[in-house]
Amino acid sequence: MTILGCYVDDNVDELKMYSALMSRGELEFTETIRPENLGATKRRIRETHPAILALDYRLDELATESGENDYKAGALAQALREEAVDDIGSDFPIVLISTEEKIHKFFSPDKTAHDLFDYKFLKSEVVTDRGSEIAVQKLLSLAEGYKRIIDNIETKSLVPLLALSEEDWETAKPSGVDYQFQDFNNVPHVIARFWIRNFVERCGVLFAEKDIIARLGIAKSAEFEAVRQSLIESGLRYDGIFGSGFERFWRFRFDEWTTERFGRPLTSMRGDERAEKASKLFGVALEPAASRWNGRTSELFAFACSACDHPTELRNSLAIHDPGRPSFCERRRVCFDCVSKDEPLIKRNLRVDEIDESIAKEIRDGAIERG
Amino acid sequence: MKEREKQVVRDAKQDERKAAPLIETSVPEAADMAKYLEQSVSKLVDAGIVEGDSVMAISQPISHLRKLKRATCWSYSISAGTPVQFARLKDRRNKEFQPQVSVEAISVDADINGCALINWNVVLKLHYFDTSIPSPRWHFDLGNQEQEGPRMHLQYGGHGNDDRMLDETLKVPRWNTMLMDTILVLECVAANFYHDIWSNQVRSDTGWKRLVKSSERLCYPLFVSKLYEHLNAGDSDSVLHGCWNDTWKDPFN
Repeated sequence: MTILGCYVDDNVDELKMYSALMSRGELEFTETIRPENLGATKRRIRETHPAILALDYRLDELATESGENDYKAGALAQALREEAVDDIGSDFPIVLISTEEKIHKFFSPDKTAHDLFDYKFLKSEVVTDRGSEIAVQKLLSLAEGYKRIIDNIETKSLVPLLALSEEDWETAKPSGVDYQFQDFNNVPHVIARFWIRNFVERCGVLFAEKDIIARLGIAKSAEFEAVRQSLIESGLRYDGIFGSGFERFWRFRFDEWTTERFGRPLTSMRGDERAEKASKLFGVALEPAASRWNGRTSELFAFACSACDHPTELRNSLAIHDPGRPSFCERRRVCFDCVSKDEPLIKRNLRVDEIDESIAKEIRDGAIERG
Repeated sequence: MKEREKQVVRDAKQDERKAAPLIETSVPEAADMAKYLEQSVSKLVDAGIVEGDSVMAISQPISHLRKLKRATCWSYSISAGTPVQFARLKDRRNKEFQPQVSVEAISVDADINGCALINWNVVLKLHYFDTSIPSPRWHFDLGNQEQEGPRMHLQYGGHGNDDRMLDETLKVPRWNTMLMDTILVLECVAANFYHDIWSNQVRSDTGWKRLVKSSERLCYPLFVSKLYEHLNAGDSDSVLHGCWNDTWKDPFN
C-alpha cells in the first residue's frame, strides 16, 4: 500500500532530489510542489491528500512562476494547521527539511513556529543511503501514527494509541497526562505534538537507547545490540504511535524487568556492579561506564547527559534551563565535564539553569575539582 | 474485697491495657500508597520546595505499587541515584546544599500479627555540591535481632553513603524513635528547611493532612504501643530497654 508524500520546495533541483531520496518502500513523494501564493499552495497541497507533507524552510529564496512565494514554511504550516482544526480527518504530519543553520535558528523552542512541525530533518542527513533509510522509517511512522490517531479520535483516550492494555496504562501513566490529553479537543496534530515532544523526544515515560545505556551503567559499544534484542524479546519495546520510526522502551517495564533480575533498582547500584551483572544477564562482555567528570566506574549513573549523551551521575551534573517541562518528563541535565568545556552545550543549544549557574561558574573557574 | 482479689483485678486491668492496642497499625493498600506518594511529591513540587524531577524519580515505586493493587503486603524503594530532591538552600557559610530523600527499603505486611513493618531504611541526605564538604546523612531503620540497638531507630550516617568521612565514628547513637516513611520525612524536611512555605501553604492543606495521617497511622502505632506498655506498667523496664533488639517483643502478639 503506497503512503503518499508531498514535498514543497522553491528550488526545482532540490525538489526532484529530495523527493526521490525520501521515497523508499511504501513511501512515495510523488507530489512535488513549487510554492506560489499562500492560498494557492495550500489548496494544491490539500488536493493531493498527502499522508505526510515535507517543507523546505525557505520557500521564498527563489522566485517561482507567480513570484508570490513570499513566505516561509512556518506560515504555510500555520495555515494548514488552522484548517485541520475544523477538518480533523484531513490532518497530516508536517516535517521540515532544511540545512542545519536554518533549522537550528528556526526550530528553537522560543520561536513561534517551533510547534507547527512534527519533526525536522537536515538535508545533509538524507543524502546518504543509511540516512535516507532512517529518515523514511521516521516519516512512515509519522504518517502511520497520524492515521492511528485519526482512526481512534472518537475514543478520546490515549490507550488505543499506545499498544498497551488499560491496566498497564493505569500502572504506567504519570499524573496529569490524561487530563492534558482531554484538553486537546481531539485535534490530531495537537495530540501528535504532545506525544512527540514529551514522550518520544524526552526521557520520561519512555527510554531511548542512551537512557537504557545510562541506567545499565555501561559504556556504549557494539555489544549493546545483544542487550537491545534481549529487551525487545522480553516485550519492553514501545509499539505505540511513532514507535516504528523512533525506537523507545517502556520505562515502567524496563524498571520492573531489571529490578527482578538485578535484585534492586538499577540506580541504587554502583555502575561497575551493574555492568558486571548486566554482562552475565545478557551474555556479552559489557564495559562499565566511567564518569566523564572523575573517571570512576562506581558512580550511581542515572541518566544520559543532554550534551554528550554519556551515562552521568546526579551528583556531578547540573540542571539545564528547561522551561515549560511537564512534570512527567525528566529534566534535562548535563555532566560537569560538558559544563567545564562549555562547547558541548553551545553545540546543542543548551544552557545551565539559572539556579545552577553559580556552580557552573565554579566548575569553569576550577574551584570545583574533579573527584 | 480482699487485698488479694483487688490485686487480681488490678493485674487483669493492666493486662488488658497491655494487650489491647491503642491504635492499630494501618497498612494502606498498595495502589493507595502509590497515590499517596505521588500526591505528596506533587504537592511539594506545586509549593515550589521540591524539584519537578522528583515526580519521575518516584515513577518506579509508583508503577510497582500500582501493579500490586489492593495488596496490603508490599514494598518499595526510591534509589539514591534518583532521589526526591528539594529546592537548593544555603547554609550559614553560604554553601549550597540540597536535601534529598531516598528509600533503600520499606516493606510491610498487614497480615503479620504484631508488627506489620518488616523492613525499613529511609534516608535523608543534605547533599553539598562542594565535594570538599561532607554531606550529612540520617536514616530511619528497623534493626534486626542480632544488631545492638533499638528495634526502631534514627541513625546518623550508615552504609552506602558517598561521603564517608564521618560515618565510621558516628554509627552511634541509634536514637530510639518511631519510624518515618517517605511522606513523613518529606514533611519533616519541609517544616524544618522551608518553614514559611510549609506553614503557609502545605501543613493546613486538607489533602496534605490526609496524606500525612495515612503515614502516621502506618508508622507510629507500633512505637506508641511500646510507649504505652512501658509507661503504664509501674516498675517495668524502661521504654528504651523494652525497645532494644534483644528484648523486643512484638506488642500485638
